[in-house]
Amino acid sequence: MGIRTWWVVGIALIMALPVLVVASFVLEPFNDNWQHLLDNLLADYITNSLLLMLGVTVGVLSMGIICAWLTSTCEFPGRRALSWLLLLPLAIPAYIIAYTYTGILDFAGPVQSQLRDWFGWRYGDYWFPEIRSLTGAIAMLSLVLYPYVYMMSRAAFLEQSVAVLEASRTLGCTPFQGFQRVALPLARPAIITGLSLALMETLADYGTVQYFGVNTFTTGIFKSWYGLDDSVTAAQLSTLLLSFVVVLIFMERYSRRHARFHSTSNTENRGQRYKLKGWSAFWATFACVLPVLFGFIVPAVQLLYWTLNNADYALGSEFFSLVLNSLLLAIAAAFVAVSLALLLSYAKRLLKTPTVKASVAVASIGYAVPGTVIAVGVLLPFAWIDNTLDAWMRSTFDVSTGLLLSGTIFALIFAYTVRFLSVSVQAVDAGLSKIKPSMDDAGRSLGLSPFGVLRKIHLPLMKGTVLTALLLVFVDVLKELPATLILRPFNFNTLAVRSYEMASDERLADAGAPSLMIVLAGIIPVILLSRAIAQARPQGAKK
Amino acid sequence: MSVLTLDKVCVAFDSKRVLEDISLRLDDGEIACLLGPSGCGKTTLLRSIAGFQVLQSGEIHSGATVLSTSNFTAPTENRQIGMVFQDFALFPHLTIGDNICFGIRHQSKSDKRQRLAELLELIGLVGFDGRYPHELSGGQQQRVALARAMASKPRLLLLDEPFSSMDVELRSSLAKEIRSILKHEGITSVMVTHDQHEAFNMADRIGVLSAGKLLQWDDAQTLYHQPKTAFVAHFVGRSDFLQGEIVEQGVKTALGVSPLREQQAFKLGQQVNALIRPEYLKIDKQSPIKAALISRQFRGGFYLYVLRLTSGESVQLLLSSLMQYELGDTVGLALSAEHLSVFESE
Amino acid sequence: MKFFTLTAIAGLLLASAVSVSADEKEVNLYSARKENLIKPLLEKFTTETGVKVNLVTGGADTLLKRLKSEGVNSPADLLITTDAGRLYRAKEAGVIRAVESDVLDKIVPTNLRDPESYWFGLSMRARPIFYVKGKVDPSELSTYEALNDDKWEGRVCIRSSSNIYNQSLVASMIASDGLEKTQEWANGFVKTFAQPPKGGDRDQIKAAAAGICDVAIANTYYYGGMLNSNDEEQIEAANKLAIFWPNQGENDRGVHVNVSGIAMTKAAKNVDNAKLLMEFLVGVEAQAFYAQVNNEYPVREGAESTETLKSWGEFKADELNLSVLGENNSDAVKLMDRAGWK
Repeated sequence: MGIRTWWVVGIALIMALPVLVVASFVLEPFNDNWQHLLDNLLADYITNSLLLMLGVTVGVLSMGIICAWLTSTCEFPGRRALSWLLLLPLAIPAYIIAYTYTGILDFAGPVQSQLRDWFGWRYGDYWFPEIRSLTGAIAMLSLVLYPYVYMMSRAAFLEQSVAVLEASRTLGCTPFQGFQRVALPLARPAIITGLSLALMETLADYGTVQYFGVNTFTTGIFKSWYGLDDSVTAAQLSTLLLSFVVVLIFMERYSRRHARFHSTSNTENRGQRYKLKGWSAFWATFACVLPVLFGFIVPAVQLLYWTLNNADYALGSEFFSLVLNSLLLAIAAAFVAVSLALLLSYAKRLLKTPTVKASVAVASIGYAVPGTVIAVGVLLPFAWIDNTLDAWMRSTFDVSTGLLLSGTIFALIFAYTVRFLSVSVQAVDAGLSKIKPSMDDAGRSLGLSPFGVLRKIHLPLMKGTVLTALLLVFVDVLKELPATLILRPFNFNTLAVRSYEMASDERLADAGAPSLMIVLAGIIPVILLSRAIAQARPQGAKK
Repeated sequence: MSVLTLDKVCVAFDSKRVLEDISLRLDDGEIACLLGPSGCGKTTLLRSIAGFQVLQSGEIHSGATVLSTSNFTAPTENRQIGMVFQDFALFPHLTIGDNICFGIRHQSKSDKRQRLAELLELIGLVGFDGRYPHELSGGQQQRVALARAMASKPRLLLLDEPFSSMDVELRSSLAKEIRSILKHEGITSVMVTHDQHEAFNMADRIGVLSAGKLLQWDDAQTLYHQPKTAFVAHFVGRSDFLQGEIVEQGVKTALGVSPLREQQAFKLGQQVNALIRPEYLKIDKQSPIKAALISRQFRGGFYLYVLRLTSGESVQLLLSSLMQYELGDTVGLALSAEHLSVFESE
Repeated sequence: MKFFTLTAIAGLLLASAVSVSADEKEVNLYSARKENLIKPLLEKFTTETGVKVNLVTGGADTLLKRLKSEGVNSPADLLITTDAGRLYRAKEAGVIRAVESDVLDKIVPTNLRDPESYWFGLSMRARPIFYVKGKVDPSELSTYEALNDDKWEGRVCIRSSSNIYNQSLVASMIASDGLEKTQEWANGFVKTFAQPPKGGDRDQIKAAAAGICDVAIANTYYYGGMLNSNDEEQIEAANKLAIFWPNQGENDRGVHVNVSGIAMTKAAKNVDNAKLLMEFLVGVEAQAFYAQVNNEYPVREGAESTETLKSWGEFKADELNLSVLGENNSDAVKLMDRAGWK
């Protein structure tokens, strides 16, 4: 192996360290708690997790793909605005949307109370969908996670060669059949990328399912740790979850091992969008408004209502520092994660060896692991390094260095990077896969170094992709809670922490203000970046 | 029977006309070429026939079926056309077999399989059906694209610069191959190209377009020898123009007096330009017309010479490379063509 | 490159945002108690003593994990949790130390602190039964144990077994009735659930008020929080219910209580300041704060109570030493799992 391969392997290992630390607990003996879990809980938990994944898959795919297809290939009233509005639910943490809908739709909530008032019903007289259920959890997670699929598949649709779509038309396909038989399969890698991000978040989610009383595999992890005081079993369960994800990813890759998806054609002028008129235009607008309405507007309005009407906790002077902390953390983590993602994805493309590919895969596995577990994976090695160094310094120089890494911003950003590297790697990979390998060769033949190829050819071509990756990590960090809680330094708060503290104390209304701020802080970059992404996209189309 | 009729077709992008009053007819089994420099509108014309382009005015018919008018555009998928794209546009996610069978509908599996085998045989790619497009060479991809377009036996096959990405050798051999395939299948086709050799190789009928206008719609012979405009003459082959004057017996040029090719309405004494192709000329030591050799290019079997006439005009001449003349030699020239085509001077 | 410059700037800004000065007079606190429920007290402490308090809040289990992995170099001097079970775990893990303080010994009742003075309760909360006025006559209620009677079938609201308060409640029952009997009880008790457990304690009270069930089990301070809420609906819901103090019989053990408590870490470096803060938190003023801000019962005898707390009346609390809750916690969890308590 060359020196560069070693570098990649080294970086990948550092990134994988927390996960490896957690996975290493598999080596510990399995204790009685396993038997207990197997006998009483796991079957139920696994069934729920699978159903949840299935439901979220259906939810995010239908919303994400339909809206992406409509906004990228059709023209209808509101299309331009909707194409970025559809990203907004990304700014809402899943547990917060769960709180807001519970507030609205619960038995004691305004909707049901109003119905009872109008019709004189009482409990049991009528049927109303139970929000706090598996179905409810599926709906909540789908509403905030579909933007991943939307984002990725929209980019894929926009970049598809028009000739290929026209070819399908000449072969007898209607526009819809062309979508179904050509555009959709061609967008498969992008869609799978979006879906896998959504599913990994689903698996890692604890807040929503716990609040809804849906016991999933993650519940098992936390039950072992918190309830049974057995972090070994918790780590072993996490490892099991990880293996499951790895197997899924591997299966998907295997199933499309030969097919290529980057276009064999050059991108031609995009023909005009299909101009929808009358009812079809109405339904298109309707279909794209729904996710925005339920994924963003309704919860945001509920948060606003709580904030304005009955919060006895007002955001004070510390408010500014909360916002600043959140934003700075998110920006820093986004840049670090995306830089690393570029490095790793590019190494994978350049070096092409199985070792490198495996390293990158290992490095970006952290996304499927609940944030708390990752945080522990960061905590343990950092503390070990600190304490070992301290002990050595003491014995050698009689100087105590104390904790250098633990409980610092550095540790926190490292944890974010580990957790969200997958998001940026996937986004960058998706972008890179669209650049034909011949372009690398062309660049090299024109005297560019590999780094030069990255800088002069790929980066300009991938500006949109890089911005997408930045945006995704940024928003994810803004919402991130468990790792922040456990790793942050003294006196360091973020909006997510504040919102969580209120909500977990069952003071939903008081959680409104900080939650709203997360959403607001998330929106502005979402809007700015979605504009930048739109501009950065190579526009052969519009002359 | 006419498979394709265009009647005064006009197309505009925004307010800019890109096709003006195009009318043509194509009969069953004929292969037509649309020839013209880039930007002349030939691809737009092809896309109009395919239904990707809305007409501003005029009509497109296939037999009795109306395909396009200014306010109606039959969807592409209902036109029973096949199309081969410039860059092939093969579906990268499908195997060769699946690509070819993509457009075949409403047929039993065994019929499909049979058709696939037949086509693979025809394009010489038997055994390739399980491969993916990126695993094939350019020429092979080209043939797959053709097979895919033909698979469902379309009424009309459209080919958009199908050889533009091939090298010269491959082009002419593929062109012949594809012509024989098309003829074998009896498919009426329209091909777009900017290369007259391709057009001559392939087409029964050729239309020359320039700046959105169809200048001439004829067979290759007529087009070459009886071009209707100087542009056509120039575009379809090597040509020189000599100044001439209409006289009673025909046209008088620096090469003497020659009869006109056809009854053209020119007045006596009118100044015209006469088309001279290299093969119209021969060396004749006896000839009183002398010309000086000013350049020569080796073309394998031939030399292409440029000669300067005493009038100061120059003409090109192809001669066997077995004979050699040196630069600066003066030779006698004679016209071997019996008739000349003339055009109005600009 | 611009990209890296931006990263660097963000990094520097962040570094400046975290300013833990090397102040001599400070104490570092890991708190599972939410910031807004402790910060005002800490600020008061700083004003009075000049000792700065640095705070990290978080889940008790994760803070404990952090404490364990940081080991002797941990910056934390104190650990606050919101239940006794976690303090027991901290003691078992060997990350906290015994504190000798006459003040603490005198003020904190023995059952509300560790027998070896490793931790001390700061505030107390009870987990009584709430019933819907008009639907249930208080005379129908008696003990937790009696709730598994057939007559309650489909009438009880309680949250999930993954919640520590339920774990503690069952742990206390194991201590009193034994594992086997408690298991039997739980097997019957799950049949009384009106709906699969979901949501928090307030949600159980709301559900009862809305008519889903007739009886709910919740912590007192949540009920108090609803009564004193700004939200009309919450007040209305809470007013439909009343508290019933279970297990008050002469020979009975009393209502289940738990504490939020504090312990000094083994790694503590600011020992004196830490002790000062511990003692401050059981002081008259601090104890009154718990009642005012969060409707919790002070552990200090005679501390100023509130109208809300007074209105609920006197009750007998289970005097079980709370360490036992920690000891029995795993058993309680498994027992509920076996009973099918989601």
